[in-house]
Formats: sequence, C-alpha cells, structure tokens
Amino acid sequence: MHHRYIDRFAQGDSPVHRLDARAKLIAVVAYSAVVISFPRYAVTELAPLAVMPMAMLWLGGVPAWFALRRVLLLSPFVLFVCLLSPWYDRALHPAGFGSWRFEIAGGWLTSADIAAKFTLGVLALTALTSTTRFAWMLEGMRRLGAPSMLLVQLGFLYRYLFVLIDEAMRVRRGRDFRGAALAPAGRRLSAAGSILANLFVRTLERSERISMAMAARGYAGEWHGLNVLRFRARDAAFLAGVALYLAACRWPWLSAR
Amino acid sequence: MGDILDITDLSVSYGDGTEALHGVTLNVGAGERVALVGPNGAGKTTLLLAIMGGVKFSGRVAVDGMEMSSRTAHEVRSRCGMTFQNPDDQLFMPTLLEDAAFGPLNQGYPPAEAEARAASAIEAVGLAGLEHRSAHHASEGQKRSASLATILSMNVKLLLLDEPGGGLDFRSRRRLTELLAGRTEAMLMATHDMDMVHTLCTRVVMLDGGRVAAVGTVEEILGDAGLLGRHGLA
Repeated sequence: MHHRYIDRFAQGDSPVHRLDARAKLIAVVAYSAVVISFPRYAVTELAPLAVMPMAMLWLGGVPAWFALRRVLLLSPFVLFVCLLSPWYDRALHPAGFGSWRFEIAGGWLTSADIAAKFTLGVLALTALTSTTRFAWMLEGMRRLGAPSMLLVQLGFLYRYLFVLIDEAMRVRRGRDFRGAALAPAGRRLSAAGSILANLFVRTLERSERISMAMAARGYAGEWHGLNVLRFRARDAAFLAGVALYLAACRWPWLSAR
Repeated sequence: MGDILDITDLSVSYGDGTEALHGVTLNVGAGERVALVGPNGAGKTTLLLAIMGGVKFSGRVAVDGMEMSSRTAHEVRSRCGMTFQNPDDQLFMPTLLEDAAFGPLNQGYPPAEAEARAASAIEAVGLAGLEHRSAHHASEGQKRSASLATILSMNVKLLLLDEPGGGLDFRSRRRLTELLAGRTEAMLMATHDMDMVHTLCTRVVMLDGGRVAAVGTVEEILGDAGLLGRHGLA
C-alpha cells in the first residue's frame, strides 16, 4: 500500500502549496469555526462558504473528484445522524429558495445542515492536506504551539501506518496461500485472531527498536525540529483575504438578526 | 593507531536467564573496519546494542576513551552511530532530511546547522534531491543509504552497522560497498555478506553462541574452511 493514498497531491507545487503551513492551518481552523457558528436551520447561508475550499483545491491542482471521493468515503459516519434527525425534530419551520416559500420539518433542515457542514469541513481539510506536506504541517502545528507529544505521535502514525498495513497484507497473503479460504469459519476466525496478536507483538517489538534508534541518536525526551517554514508577506495577505472572506460570509447573517 | 572501541569481558543476559554474550573482549582501531560474523543467534546484534547502551551488560565498553554507563550514554552516543537491520526502524521521521537532522538537533546544533549537516550527509550517500521524500517512498537501497546518512550527519567516529547489505540487490550492494569504502570512520559491521567483508574489512571477529570463536585477518578467518564449517558459516 502506498503513501500516495493519503498525500497524493501534497508534494505538488502551486501558489497554494507554496503558502506557509501555518497560514493554511489558521485559515482552515478559522473557516471551520465560522462554518460551525451558523445555527442549524441556516442551511442556505452556508453556500458562499463552499468558495474557499473549492478555490484552494482548484488553485492547488487537486481534482474535484478527489475531494468529493473523500466526502463520500467519510459520509457513512454522518449519514446515520442525518437519517435520525427528522424523527426527533418534527416542528415545522419556514424555509425558501428565492421567492419560493414553504414549510419543512426542522429535522430535515438539521439533516441538511449536518450534511452541508460535514461536506464543507471535509473539503477544507482535503484542501489543506492535499496542498501541504505532512512534515510541514506537523512543523506548522509545532510552531503554533501544539503539544510536542501529540505531534510525535502523529509523525509516527504517518510514518508507520503503511508499514503496518503492508505487514498485515503480507501475513494475510501467507495465510491465504495456505488454503485459508477452504478452512471452516471457526479456524479462519482463530487464524485472524492469531494474525492480530502477531501484528501487535511485532508492533511492540518495532516500537522498542525505534525507541533504541532514537536513543542511539541522542534523543533524551526533548523533541527538536527543523525550522523549514518561512512566513512571508504573501502568507499574511492570504490570511487577510481569508479573514475578509469569512467576515463577508458571516456578517450579513449576523446583522440581519 | 589508538583504539576507538575497547570492549573487555562483556556479558549480556536476558531476563529469562539466556546468556546472549559471554566474556566478549575485542577492540577496533581508529579508522579500522572490522567484520562481525557468526551464525544467526550468535549475539552480533546484541553486541552492537550493548555498545550503544541499548541492553544491560556487565564488563567494560569504551568508545573513544569514554566508558559507557547510564550516566555517560548520551556522550558515548555522540561518538558512535548505529544503523539497524531494518531501515524502517531507523527512519522514523516524516522525511529523510528530518531523519538525518534528528541526531544533530539532539546533539545541540541550531536548526540551520543541523539542516546543513543533514543535507550534506544525504548528498554524501548519493541521495541529493530526495531530502523531502518520505522513507516510505524510497527504495530498499535508498533506505539503507539514508540510514547511513542519519549517523554520518552526527559526525561520529565509529559506525556500527547491522547487516548493512541485507535485502539489497547486487547493484545496490555494490553502491553501498563503494560508499562505505570511501568513509574514514572506524566500522564494526555485523554481516553474513562475505563479499562485503572481503572488500571492506581488514579484520574479522567471529562470534558463536555469544562467545568470541576466532579473531584474525580476513584471509585467516575466511580462508579457514574448517573454522567456517564448525561455526555454520560454510
């Protein structure tokens, strides 16, 4: 299994890729806060918020299908909540598109709101992760004050997740090549348990070796990083633009209250 | 030629009572390249780990005159570097550059200098241009070279190499051999690759059952078919 599965476009070069990771992180966090801040029945007001992630994806050379596939891939997690909402909130609320006015159960509006916010959130995260190298993202988070231990864990997750998946696939292949498909369900289940236990032990052993490798290179509990990021004028301009855009999206709704 | 590594009466026992090493005494001179050979389970990796202070031991281990103990481990580790059998254990950072900079940063170099050292080490092992690549995107040969870069960047005097040519094809192994031949640091390499021993080393230490079975020049040890046969190497 290849790393490209998660960072397929992050190695590219575009105006968005060249932005400082901190600027993009701050922008996406602020964007998420604004998206969440809209009340649950204000579904149509969320529409202008699709512009920022779509623009980042487009300028970053990330195809729309790639981002939409991410949305679909993760959608089962919210689908359940969306389907349940109409059961709990049946009170009618006025709604409308342009001059067309009608009434709809609040639960449906809540479902649409959750789906819209989820989609916008995943699009923004995809835009961030597809235009920022993971190492630079970690460095950006470190420089923004994220806990060092969390970043170390994220770094290891990124580095070893695929090593572990590769290992699991090799072990599974070893099982399949010995006729596992023909074995009764009980034995297959037992073999699956053994594989999991085996992988767990291997992971533990690997963690010991990595710990030794770190100690051998002088690690004594304090994590140091390279200062590969440079915050330039264009990053400040980007953040200012995002701030204006988010204010423009949010302010009309606030002032109308 | 002064000794860069001096080991006297080194013994290592595991928690279950298994004696992995018993009374090992050996030395490596400055700039000398010594091969550590022996059958599987002979204690080669354990010996390298003991030198790095990675396992508890009795006896004396000194690197460049500094005796290894829990108090001096940090200082000793800045004088010698070890690459592991599996480069995936060695390369744990998101990019090769960060991996090569990990040691210098821990040695206290400022980020800019650590980065320069890392970039220089990566160039020295022939991986220039791949600094920002993840180890997962690198070939096995590139990972081996990058592993070496992670300790070269620390400017150590002794390289401890555990199966440096393991899993490499002929071309990658030859490239690695040429790279190691061009280095001036002392080396102690645990290996089954007799071609690499012939090309690189001047002396061989044979381990079997956790004990030193023989020490001699490459010709003396590898030319003795009876000795190799008795210790499962031929």
